[in-house]
Order: sequence, then structure tokens, then C-alpha cells
Amino acid sequence: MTTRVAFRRAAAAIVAASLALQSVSLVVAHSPDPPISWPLFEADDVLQFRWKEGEVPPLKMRDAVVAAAADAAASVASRAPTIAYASGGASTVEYGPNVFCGVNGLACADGWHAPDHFHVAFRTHGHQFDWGRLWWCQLQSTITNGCYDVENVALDEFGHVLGLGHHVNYGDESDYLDAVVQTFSRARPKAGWNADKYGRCDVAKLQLRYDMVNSARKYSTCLDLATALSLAASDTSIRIGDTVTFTATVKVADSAGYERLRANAVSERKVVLERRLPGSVSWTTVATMPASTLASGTYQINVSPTVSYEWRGYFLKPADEGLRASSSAPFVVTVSGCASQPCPQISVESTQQEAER
Amino acid sequence: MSLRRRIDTLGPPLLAAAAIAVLVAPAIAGSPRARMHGPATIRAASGPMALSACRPEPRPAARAEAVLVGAAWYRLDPVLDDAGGLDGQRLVVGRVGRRGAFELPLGVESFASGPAGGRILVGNDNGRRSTLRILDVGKRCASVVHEGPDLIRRAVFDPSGYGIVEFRLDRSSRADLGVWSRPLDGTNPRRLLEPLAPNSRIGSVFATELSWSADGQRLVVKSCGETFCLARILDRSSGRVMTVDDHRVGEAIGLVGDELVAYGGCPWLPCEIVAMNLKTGRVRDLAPMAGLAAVHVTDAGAVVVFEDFELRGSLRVVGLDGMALRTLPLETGLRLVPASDRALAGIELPAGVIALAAGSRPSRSLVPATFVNIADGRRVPAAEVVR
Repeated sequence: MTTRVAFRRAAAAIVAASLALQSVSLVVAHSPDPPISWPLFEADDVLQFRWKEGEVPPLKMRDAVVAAAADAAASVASRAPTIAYASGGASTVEYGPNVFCGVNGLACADGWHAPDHFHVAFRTHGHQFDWGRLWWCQLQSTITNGCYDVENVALDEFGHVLGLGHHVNYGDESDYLDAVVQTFSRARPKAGWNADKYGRCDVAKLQLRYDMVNSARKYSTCLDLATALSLAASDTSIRIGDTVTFTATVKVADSAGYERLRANAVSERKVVLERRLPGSVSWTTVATMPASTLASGTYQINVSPTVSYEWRGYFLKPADEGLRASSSAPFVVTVSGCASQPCPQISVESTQQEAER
Repeated sequence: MSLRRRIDTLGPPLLAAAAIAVLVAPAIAGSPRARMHGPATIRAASGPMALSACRPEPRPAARAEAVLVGAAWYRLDPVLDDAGGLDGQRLVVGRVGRRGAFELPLGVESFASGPAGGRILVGNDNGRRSTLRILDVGKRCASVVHEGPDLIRRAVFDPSGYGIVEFRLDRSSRADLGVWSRPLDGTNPRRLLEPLAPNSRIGSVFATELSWSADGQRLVVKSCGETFCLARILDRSSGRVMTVDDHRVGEAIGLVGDELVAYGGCPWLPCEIVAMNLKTGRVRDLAPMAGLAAVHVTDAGAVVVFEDFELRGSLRVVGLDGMALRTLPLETGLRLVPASDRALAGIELPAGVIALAAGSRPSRSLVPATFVNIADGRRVPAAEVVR
């Protein structure tokens, strides 16, 4: 639909691919929102919009649109661009009939010129559709059921600008509140009519497309990302009393489908060190591995084993984010003799806190 | 016979209808709320002026296909109240290369279609009654062809020249009442299409638009929900109705023979353009990433012209077989003028000519605007054809 940038063949190819995926409805219900067909804006960019000359929305609509931009910035939970009003902004928000909206829809977005600028248009208050007249709640003197919330619809349109397609809901729409960017908008008072922050499946796609702010931020629970845990020991053949430093590294799996999240370091989560006697089946948790300052996504602990064990790291699935559990490949640390008498019992030295036993 | 040529035959029946219709009274400097109920008032740059009743007369000679100067155009613009709410619409009407565009105030529930044969079909509803009028742009006259309690939401000329096809809603519930054919000889309308059954894929119907196939033999009824569309195609000779309710086929762009040209399943632009063969159901891609698009019939056959997302600043012309025919430059600031339902505007173009305009809609000045011959890319800026 409308504005759009200098053409970049590579970007178009990516877009074409995503469009093809979308058009054949490969998106599974309740997964992250599908991508939209125009190029992405740059991560961390600030997209400034102005009111289009001659098609300036009414004051209360302008206030709601500005609020939606703030809502977006506060809830993208990713490096998605920030959208903000500025009188000299390159992008525009307009009000009135506009050809790029087509014959239907409450509002529309146009990212044709991404990553330079975008357009968003809102139908006029009182626009006549087949089903009746469109009333924007903010423009009503007395808010009535059946009106649409400008802030919510603007958040939806900004979601499109940022690259989100319409969320694919379950058939019964029981997951409707997981996304603001929806095929069917809801009027007051249906649940979600005035949602003012992105839902977890909106956020999931924004994270996939733009990456996380840092390695400690939580992944949306609408994601289900495999993780990869590696564990290394400073020495695998020691004498009793020696100390081994175990270093675990947790990353998002290196999968192309994970877009910008692939191989991301995962910091400040819970990783435990486990051991078992060679040949046994069950694992025993030795300690929680504190975060290391070595690098993002690393956890480290010092252990002085007295017996030869198999060791592995285990990344526990966080209850509040979309990461799967993973474990490292096990390996044996062989312990022989004693460096001193009497032989010490197993001990754990945490670099940051007392380790759990 | 081309659609445009068929429309040229509208003359006699429309003029006959005009003779029996309620004619438009002399001008009054009506308030915007008058909006074509009772006397119609038009507004020119110099102020209000009369839109006279059309008088019966012999059918005018058809304009040569290649003539662009004097071709009728219109656009609908919103009229807002002080709070920014929609208070009505303003129909701006003019002729390419001619001065003296004029305006008509309309109500919120109003529409226009055409132009065809220099005429524009205008519908208006005041909440109690709907009125259909035919404006003869060149003569600046109007004929009321219908006024009654039925809520007429959309209407288009029947290319046979003997009637109007209209889409109706129930006035109180706004339930679909189907598509009707209204002869211009005063006989009773008859229903062509039943109301659209509820459809969960498209949800509530936001817009229903009517158009004709290039040969004028099939009526395309496009029904769009908030995001997705379906199309029903009525073959006027057999009465057979085909419904295209397919996630691969979105908003219809045009129908040529058995080929329905439409956007793909995406609800936004750019979007792929596809062609569905109505006999086989086969859907094939015509363009991967298109912006605004239009179907035109040229001497060399039907083509799709579209804004090419991959070749920025260009229009691409492809045949219905998907073969790329040519690329046309698209100047900065100009966009393709699409079909009237999408543009809320229309220009009566000669066959094989497309219009480019700022905002993809004709404007009072028609500048900047350009007309392009699809076959050779020759351009004729409107400003240069003023006579």
C-alpha cells in the first residue's frame, strides 16, 4: 500500500519469500504473527511520523495515535524500531479516505518505502460500511458499544509497520488476546477491544525479526525455541583435591527459522551442573551454576570432585519464557589419588554465591 | 465489443428514462445538508450554479476511442464536521483538459460510479430514501432514475445500456438484500443475486462493490470483510453464479473472459497478482509484488498494469498469460489510478490508456497527472491537452 523506499533487490527477495510462506498459510495457529510483505525497518531505528498535510486527524485521534506509539515502544520487548511523533517526521499518519486502504478495513498501514518511512491511514469517524457506520471511541462525546478504539487500532497498524502480519488464532479465538495485530478488530466491549500493548505473539515475531535487546531479556512465551547448552571443564583428569572449573554456555539453537534469534547467547537463567557415576542412569544435581562474566550466556562454577563422575550441564526451561530445556553432552572427569590426606569430600565453590547442593 | 463501446449505447434508454424521471430543479445555493435530495446544486469555482435537468435528444455520436480531451472524471471527497466526523461527501466532477469542474454535495451514504459515455451514476441516501441520478458531465445535467425507500448501497451502469445493477441493504438491519437489476424503462427491478450467506473467512461485510467483465457479459460482485474478500460472478446469459471463495484469491481487479485477475491472499499491498481460470479453478501467479493495479483491454489483448515493487519507480505490464510485456516509468509523486471502487474516483479512459495521478486519484486540476498509452508508453500530460 502506499509509501515505500528505494528498492533493494535482496530485501525484496526476502520479502517475496516471506510472502510466499504467508500466502500458503503455513503459519500455525497460536504461533508468532506471520511476517508482512514489505521490507523491515532497521533495528533500534526511530521512526518519526507527522500528520499528513490536509488530512490531519482530529485532536483526540492524534492523542490516541501518539499514545499508541508510546504503547508500542513500551511493549515491543525487542530491538524493533521506536515510533514517535515529530512535526518533521518522514512518515505520515493521515485521516480520511485513502486509496491505499482499499475498500475495506478500519485503517491501514503501508511500509512500501521501508526502511525509509511509512504511512498509516485511519478511516473517517462515521465512515459508512455495509454493516454500519464506523465510530471511533475517542471521537464520541459519549462512548457507545460498537465503537473502535483508536489507540488499539493504531497499535495494530504500527505492528504492521514493524513487519507483523495478522495473527492466526485458534478456531475458537481463545487466544485472541495473545496478539493485537488481528485480522478482525474487536469493537467495544469485546475482550481485547482496547488492548494497549502488544500481545505475546506479536512480541514473538518482533523478537524474531529484530532480535533481543540483550541476552538477559526474556523470550516471548509464544515462542518455543530450542536451546543448545555446551559444558566444558578446565581439566578432565585430576587428583582428589584439585579444583575443576566447569563453564556452561547457553545459546538459542542455531536454526534458520529462528531468524535473528539464532545462536543468541542466553544469560541470567538457571543452569545446573549434574553428575552421575559412569554407567548409572539418573543424574544428581550438584549446584546451580552462577552467571559468569566471561561472556554473555556463560555460567561457571568450581568443583573439587573426589570420585570420577560423568558431568553435564542442564538448562531448565524457564516458566515465563519460550525457551526449551537442554542439556550438554556428558563427559567424564577422572579423579585419581589424593593430593593431600585425608582426601577431601566433594566441594563446590561459587564465584558469586553459595551454590545449591 | 468493448465495455466502453457498450456504454456508449446508453444514450437512448437513459435519455428516455430521463424524460420520465423527476428532473432536477433550478439551482439554489443549498447548504451541504441539501445533498441531492430535491434540487441539486452544484458548486463551481465562482460559486453555486445550476445542475439542470437533462433533456431528451438524439443519441450523441460516440467519441472516438482515442480522444482523451473532454473525457469525464470524478472523485469523492469527505466532508467533515467541526469535530472531524464524516458529515457527507463531495462529488467533484470534471472533464480532462477542460476547465469548469464542479461539485455536488452528497450525504454520508452516497456513491458514484462510471464514468461511461460521459455519464456518472450517483447514488445518495438520506436515511429514509435512496436516489439514483445520472449526471451527464458534458451537458452538466442530471436525471433522477430512481427514488424510493430501498437502501441502495452501490450501483453501476449495465453495459447493455438498458439498465442499472444495484446492491441493496435492509434499511434498518443493514442485512444484505442481494443484487438487483433495474431496467431504465420503468419496469420493476428483479433480483439477480441472492444475499451473501454468512462467511466466517471474511466475517462481517465491510464493502460490496460491483463491476463488469471486459466484455460486459459477467457481473463481478466483490464482497470484502475487514481483511479478506470473495467474489461472485454472474453470467448474464446463463444466469449461472460462481463464487470464488479461495484464500489464494483476494480482492478482484478485473475479469477478462474466464480469467479473474485478483490480488493474492495477502490483505495489504504489495501483494502478488494472480489469475484464476473460472473454468478450471487453476490459479497462477502474474506478478510477485504489486502495488496498485488495473486490468486493461488493448488492441493486443488484455493486460494487467501494476506498480512494480521490485522495480521501484516503474509500472509493469504483463499479459494474462503472465508474460512480461513492458515496463513503464512511473514519475515521482504519481501513482496508477486503479479501478473506481479502490480510488473512490474514476476517469473514462480510451481503451489502452492508463492514468497516473498524484495520490492515484484525479483532481480538480488534473495536474500533476499523466496519461500513458500502454502499447508504446507514449505520455500525454493533461496540462498539454487543454483545449
